[in-house]
Amino acid sequence: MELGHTEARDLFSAYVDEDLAEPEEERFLEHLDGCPECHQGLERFEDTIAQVRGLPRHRLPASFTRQVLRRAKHRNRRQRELAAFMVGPLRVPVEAAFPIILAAGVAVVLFLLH
Amino acid sequence: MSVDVAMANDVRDVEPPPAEVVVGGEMAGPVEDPIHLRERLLLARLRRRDDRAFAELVRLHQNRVYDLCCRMLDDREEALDVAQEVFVSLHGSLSGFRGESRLSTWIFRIAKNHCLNRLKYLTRRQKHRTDDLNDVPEGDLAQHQPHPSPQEALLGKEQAARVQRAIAQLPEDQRLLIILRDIEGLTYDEMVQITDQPEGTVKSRLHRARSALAEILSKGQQEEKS
Repeated sequence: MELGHTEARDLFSAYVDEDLAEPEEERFLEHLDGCPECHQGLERFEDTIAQVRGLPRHRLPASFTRQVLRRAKHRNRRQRELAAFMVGPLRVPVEAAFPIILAAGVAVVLFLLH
Repeated sequence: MSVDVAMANDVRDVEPPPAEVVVGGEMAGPVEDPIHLRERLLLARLRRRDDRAFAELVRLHQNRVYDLCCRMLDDREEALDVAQEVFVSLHGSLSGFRGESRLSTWIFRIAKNHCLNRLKYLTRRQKHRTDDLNDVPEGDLAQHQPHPSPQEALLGKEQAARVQRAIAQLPEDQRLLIILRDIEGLTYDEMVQITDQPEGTVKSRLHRARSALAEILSKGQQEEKS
């Protein structure tokens, strides 16, 4: 069965990626052979991908690694400080609780004795 | 939820299918890809909290991550900040990497999440401005085209700017697929792991993205001619 225009255009990407099975590719090329519109469409499609692939890459300066390490260490330090801040207030009341509990116990005993 | 928390929840890796080889007509066991092996050795050093190994990891992947961020955000300043965030978040979450996917795939996945979060943030704040990525660095262009004449260099630079502008007009998901496939040259398996989408969806969306890009570029050329 022959391919229609829409079906053929839907295969552009798979064709460029060499992802078409042999019989499908044959039907695709057959359509392209007799269809200047789709042929031109494929050329434009391939040209677009070639342009994207040919884009120059953005590069970072060598100092980037140092900046990342500094930022990572700063973050670790902040996390340790935050952890100490969260645990710190708990530690003091626990230590302070012993004499308070002891005093409360003595008060209860004295109250009961009277 | 803060961005960092969102990242920490999403820095999980996925298992790629093991490579196999046919020897003497029989299937041999999984074969270690040499790049993967190098990554595993690096990972072992990273787990020992070796700062030099981390610096090596950053150096190996920084330009690809930065390029991805530039293309996604279309803003160099934001891209630089997000690229730093990506590696800082990696530094804190390396213990969460089980080594079952390629390190590069895992890093791209984290970079993608950071970029999408930043885009959401910028949209919310309505702060997003398009930086001049059209200013293709001279050094980059020289590397891409070894001996261009000044006129060729100018044409190449303008063309690159046109293509970048067209990519920036695509929806985020389409932009990401174009970057992963046509700029980074990743396989569909890797794209599936990074995007969390089935292979069929990745392929059909990539096709739509490429078609849309071809359309934008073609319209731009027609407008220039008229």
